Amino acid sequence: MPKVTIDGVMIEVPEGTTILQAARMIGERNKADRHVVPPAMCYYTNLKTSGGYCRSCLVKVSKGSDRDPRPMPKPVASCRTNVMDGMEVQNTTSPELLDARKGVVEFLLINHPLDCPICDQAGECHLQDLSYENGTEASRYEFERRTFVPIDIGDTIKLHMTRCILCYRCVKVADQIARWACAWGDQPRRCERDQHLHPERGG
Amino acid sequence: MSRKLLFEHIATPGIRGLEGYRANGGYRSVEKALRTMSPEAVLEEVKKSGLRGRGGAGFPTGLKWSFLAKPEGVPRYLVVNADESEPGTFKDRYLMERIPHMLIEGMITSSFAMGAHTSYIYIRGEYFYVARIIEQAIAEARAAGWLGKNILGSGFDHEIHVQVGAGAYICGEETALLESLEGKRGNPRIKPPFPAVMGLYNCPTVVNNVETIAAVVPIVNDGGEEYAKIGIGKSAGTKLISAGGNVKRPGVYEIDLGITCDEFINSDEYCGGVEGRAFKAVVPGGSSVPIIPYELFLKTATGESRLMTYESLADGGFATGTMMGSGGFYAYNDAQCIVRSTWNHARFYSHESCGQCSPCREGTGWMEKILHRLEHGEGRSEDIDLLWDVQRKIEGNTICPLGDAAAWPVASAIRHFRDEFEYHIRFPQKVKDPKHFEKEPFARNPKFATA
Repeated sequence: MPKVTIDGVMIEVPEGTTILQAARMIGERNKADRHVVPPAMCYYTNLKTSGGYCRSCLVKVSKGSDRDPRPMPKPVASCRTNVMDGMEVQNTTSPELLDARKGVVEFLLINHPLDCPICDQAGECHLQDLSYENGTEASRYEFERRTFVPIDIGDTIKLHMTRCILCYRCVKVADQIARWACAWGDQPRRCERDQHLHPERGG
Repeated sequence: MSRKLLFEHIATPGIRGLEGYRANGGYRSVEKALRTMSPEAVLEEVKKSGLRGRGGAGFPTGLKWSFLAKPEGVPRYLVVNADESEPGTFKDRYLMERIPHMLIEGMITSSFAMGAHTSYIYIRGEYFYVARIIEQAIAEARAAGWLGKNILGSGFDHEIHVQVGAGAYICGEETALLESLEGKRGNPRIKPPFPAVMGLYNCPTVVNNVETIAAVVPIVNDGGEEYAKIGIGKSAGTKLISAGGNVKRPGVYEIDLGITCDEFINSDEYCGGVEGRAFKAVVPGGSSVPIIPYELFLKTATGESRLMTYESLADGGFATGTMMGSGGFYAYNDAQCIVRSTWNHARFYSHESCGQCSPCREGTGWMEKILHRLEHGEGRSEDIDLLWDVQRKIEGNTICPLGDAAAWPVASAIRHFRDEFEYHIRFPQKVKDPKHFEKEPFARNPKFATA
């Protein structure tokens, strides 16, 4: 079983475990080591091929493995990278990584309306937590934000694309768990979502 | 005078048709490979030749082919990347327009080396007329027995299909290309797995540039060692460069890797010097590579003269060097505005970002907006540092290299031409005229001419 070290804490995990899962195992094993767990927005354990989009779980791999000890040249998405035996990962111990993560949080929020006072999710919102824990106090973005008219996509769901951070989790839930031709599951409607994404480009 | 390997017969009348191509030694490499060589021997020749990918990254081609997984009972594919969308690059289009059979010949020989029985050409949507030329050439080749079952009685079967894209820049990235070829939206995949293990339809796949595949023809004909004699060190062979911008003789040139940059830009055989007063800056490899001042293009930071090779152009790293890229060479004279050109590039990348991962989707648009503000005389003094910080946070943090490609031109423009950015903030009234530097060329601060 591969051994991986995250921020100096070692754990032995089964083959095929991702760095994020390994970090979560460390956090569960000992509450004092919870700081090694990177944040994750678009990753959801029960979905296949989820993750890799939001980049908030980026970590630095300072040693690839025992067999190939070279560090990885770029930060990697911990939710989509499998651990190797002898891998050494830096999360909170790397200042440049924390800086990069700060950038990711800022990017996620530049087109978010920040209308938390009137949003139902406020208070139990992962994006709020992420911003509080890893972001900056103010945004440097001062241009107009993308906005969309909310669309009803059924009796019970209303889609607010203005607040969407494009984690693709709803697409994957519809494809893999609901198995129901819900809003974004089928191709033509995907194109519609893309139109909402880039209205200035005409889709 | 550089040797012509790809363009030897480019001006011969009738070279576009099979008859004319055959009369000038066409399909010799297929005959040689299928009749006298084993697939491993072809691969060995390509490895010996030192050929590197001509699409931009410069990865050794022989090595890439040798990574191809070969599980039993699973087909392998060769995909030719003809989605040439890099601003400034038009070498593949010229090659495919003029001498389409060379690409097909290279594909048959390369597929033989890989053991691939089906290959695809993914052509950019804007090149629909080139797709017609290629399709006609494929029909001719099939009628003459160069494609289909049991080619030349060797037992090797091969079929080529042409797929036209819809004009998205991101589909030139190999995994996005494969997604698009499978009929999905062209979003880059997260690597690993790499295409050599799991590519098109989850089968092992090699994706190569048009020029790379065409270069296999002279390599097999004359031998890899002969090809490796051209060029310097790890930059072997000839390279197509599409030259544009403010040069006297724009066009597609085949150069020996290793000629000096001075010769390329100033000699009458190639670009023929400056159109206008004086050169200001050069982008040697397509819009994604860092822009460098003309003085740094001629001589490296250590004072040696720069050569047209992968290594020499990258000499000095990003501080004083640049990259070979895909060979989309363009030069600016002193009437051009670097801020305007950077804004134009940023607008392109913002438009072409696939929107999958957040730093690129949000960051490219943000950079475009800041640069738009600067160029239109509404810039603020903190904008340059903000721009620098935004590009720094995109670079390296994205799924595919488009984020890097969007960040590098901005970073290099600020690094080398910061005084021009400052001028835009200091004289907003002057820069409101879009032709501001045509009337009054910008006097560069010599402090910024190097480092």
